[in-house]
Amino acid sequence: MKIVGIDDSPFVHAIIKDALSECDVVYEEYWNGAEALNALMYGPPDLLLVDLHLPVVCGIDLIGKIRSLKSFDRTPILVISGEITKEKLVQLMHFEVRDFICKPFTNFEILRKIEKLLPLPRRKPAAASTA
Amino acid sequence: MHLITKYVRTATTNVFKKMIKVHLWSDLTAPEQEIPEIPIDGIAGSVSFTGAMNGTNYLLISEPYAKELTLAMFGEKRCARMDYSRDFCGEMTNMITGYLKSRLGDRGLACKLTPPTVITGRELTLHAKEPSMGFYNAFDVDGRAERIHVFTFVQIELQTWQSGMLDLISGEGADEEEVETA
Repeated sequence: MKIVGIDDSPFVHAIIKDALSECDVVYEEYWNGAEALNALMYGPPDLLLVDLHLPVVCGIDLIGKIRSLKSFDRTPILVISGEITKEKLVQLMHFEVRDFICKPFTNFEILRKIEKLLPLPRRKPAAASTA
Repeated sequence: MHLITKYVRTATTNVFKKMIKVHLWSDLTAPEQEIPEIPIDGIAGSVSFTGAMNGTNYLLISEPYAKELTLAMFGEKRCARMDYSRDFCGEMTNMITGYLKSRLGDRGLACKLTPPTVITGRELTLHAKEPSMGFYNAFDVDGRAERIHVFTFVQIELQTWQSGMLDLISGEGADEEEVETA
């Protein structure tokens, strides 16, 4: 299972990774829209987390481009933003964005949002070593 | 209390608590303070807002403390490769100012934010050239001798004065605002 996060803040990535630390999931981080688009050409992840304020390609444009790709038409997208205006919400609904979370958020809050869109398997505890 | 003071106090405590699990203490009912001439001896993040109100928000934090917080967040290995303390200060300032922008927007005072910039140095002082309003808020860090300072300088556009929108954020109405406490 793979989750891709696109945000220019290392702190947001750190919080998401912390939130997912007990889940059996691969988290790939990208810092701008162009970099993410190149990487996404290899196929869709199970969930996309997209910040709206991104350098190079802004979040809304990035989501529009992603949705125009056939293999991404059903990929759930969770938007991360400092603020969501009504206009942005309308645009996001048009692109079938499933949910959003406003910064600041805790690791528990983002995990709750992610799990609403994607049931996450927990990491199996390491087997105890036998003497 | 001015609504901007309340927003800044709420935003700063919430951002630190949620993003890095650090509890800041600020008495939400304490009277406003005059802007002191605090020399910057550390890192100051700044984010400006333009629109119905123009201004700049500064977050001032000591360099050792910023490094300590980023070390706790990213671990020694990553911090040895890159210093995140400047990014940290910029990002925190961005989130605090983003909250302020959203709340002002709710009251019809639409603003846009600039990307964060970061100033480092010693014995620098913050001044604003004849701001319409200036606000200073200091925060104590739970269990530490550290203090975090937030300066907000605001210049009101003539149109905003004339439209009477300023009444929405100042005066008695401000006390009716519900504030989420830390």
